[in-house]
Amino acid sequence: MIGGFTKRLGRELNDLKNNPAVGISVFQANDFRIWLIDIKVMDDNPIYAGKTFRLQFRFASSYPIEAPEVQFVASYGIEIPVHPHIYSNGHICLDVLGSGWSPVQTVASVAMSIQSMLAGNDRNERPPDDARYVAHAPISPKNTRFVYHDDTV
Amino acid sequence: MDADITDPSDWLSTPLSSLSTLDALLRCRICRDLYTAPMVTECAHSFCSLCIRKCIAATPASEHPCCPICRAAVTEVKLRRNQVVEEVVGWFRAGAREGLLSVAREGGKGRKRARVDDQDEKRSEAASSAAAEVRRSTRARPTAYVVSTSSSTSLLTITSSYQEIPPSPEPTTDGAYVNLDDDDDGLVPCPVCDKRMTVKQVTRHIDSCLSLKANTSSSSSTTPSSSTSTKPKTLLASSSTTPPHQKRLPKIQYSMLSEPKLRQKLQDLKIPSHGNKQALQARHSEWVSIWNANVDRSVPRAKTQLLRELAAWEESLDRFPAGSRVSAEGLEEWGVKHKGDFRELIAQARRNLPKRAEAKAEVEGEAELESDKAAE
Repeated sequence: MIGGFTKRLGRELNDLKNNPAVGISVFQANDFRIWLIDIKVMDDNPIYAGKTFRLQFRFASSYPIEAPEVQFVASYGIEIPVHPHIYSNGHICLDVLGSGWSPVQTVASVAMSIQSMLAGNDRNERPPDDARYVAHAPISPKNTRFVYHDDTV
Repeated sequence: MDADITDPSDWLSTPLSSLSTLDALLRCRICRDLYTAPMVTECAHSFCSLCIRKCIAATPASEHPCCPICRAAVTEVKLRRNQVVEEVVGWFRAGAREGLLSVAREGGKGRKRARVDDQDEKRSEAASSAAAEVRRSTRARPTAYVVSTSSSTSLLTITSSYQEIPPSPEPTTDGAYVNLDDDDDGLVPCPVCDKRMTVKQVTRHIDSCLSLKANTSSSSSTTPSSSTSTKPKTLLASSSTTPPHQKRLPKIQYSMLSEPKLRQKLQDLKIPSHGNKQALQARHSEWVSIWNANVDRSVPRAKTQLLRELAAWEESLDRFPAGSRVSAEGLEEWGVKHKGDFRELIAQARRNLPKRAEAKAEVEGEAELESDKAAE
């Protein structure tokens, strides 16, 4: 039964590799704990045009009952996208990663949500409380109680 | 990745690619596996019993559990077994999937060859070479059955004949097609008595057959299973009898119980009872889900198997402690690597100490922070 939900991740990985959505690709997935997924914003949004961003997914043993821990990570040549809901430490304020999570969601569907969140953005800025949040942020974004009040972006 | 991971996409490369939809429909949206003891919710969505029970158990007590698909409120006691789906999945899993897939894959090879031959034909049309003709006929011979029919008719023939041949693990040789052909005698079985006859005969025969059956069953009504065909009957019989000793476990309000009382409950259930209250509570909740999901199975498993499942769950908890960022073995490495960061953080904290009081007053913005974690 350990296999139960590991199997699901196996399927998701096959799916991501065999039938990838446009602009979403697996950078690294050596185990069922941490995956790195690269995303590109496909429309010509000038803020993100031509850039690739890297999402880190961490899965607890309770996945998919519990949401995975998802954040952007910076790497050589890869930066954290500038967005009013994305902190400069990579933490993302998005309801599907917290209270809006449902076990029928997948890595691909989360990546697509984030992709469209970037695509729909026209404000080239960080969240207003970025500096304070980053200074005090818990290691895991799942330990932050985000307040999802701004649906305009 | 793993050979035993089946997936709806397995069908896509075969001529029976439309079966991918059926395959996907027979899977739980939570575990993405073929349904095990499917349960239907009040909002008419189906999930494996264990999946939806775990999902409900994981809902914080302050919230009402909701359907993972449509977010309508669900109540655990209102879950009902989805028996038809269970039977279809049972048939699919028992060998039909594997059998159909291997037949489809074999057919796929034949079709690919046929397509290549088509191209050959087109190319050689102008040249009118007899050699190409010979090549085509020799190549096409072993798979003539598939080549000669369109994809939709071959699907129909294969699936309909399949019902008569019990699914065997490897019907994949070229001989399978010959067998299917031989079996296809142009006759169809009467849906009532299974006697084979032509389509025209069936329409006339079925009325008389039904009235005959009604007579016999009313005359010998004490044993209803005696007259009809046995195949679907056995399936039904096996799934509708719930063993009387299998009773669902009730949920517990853990906050009402002291640790020793909870431990006693676990001991009464004969499951491991070590650990603190939090561990006891998590284990009990998991056990209730596993146990109740097992009751929902048409063929429940033995308790030893359930205990193994519980042990596996506990082991997976140990391996992936929820919310922990660093594994134990990497902890030292982490400390060395981020020594500078830690020092900087400490310095920053000291500098901010006097400011903290004023900062507290203006906490309002995008996010509320839980600073207990940040202190680590």
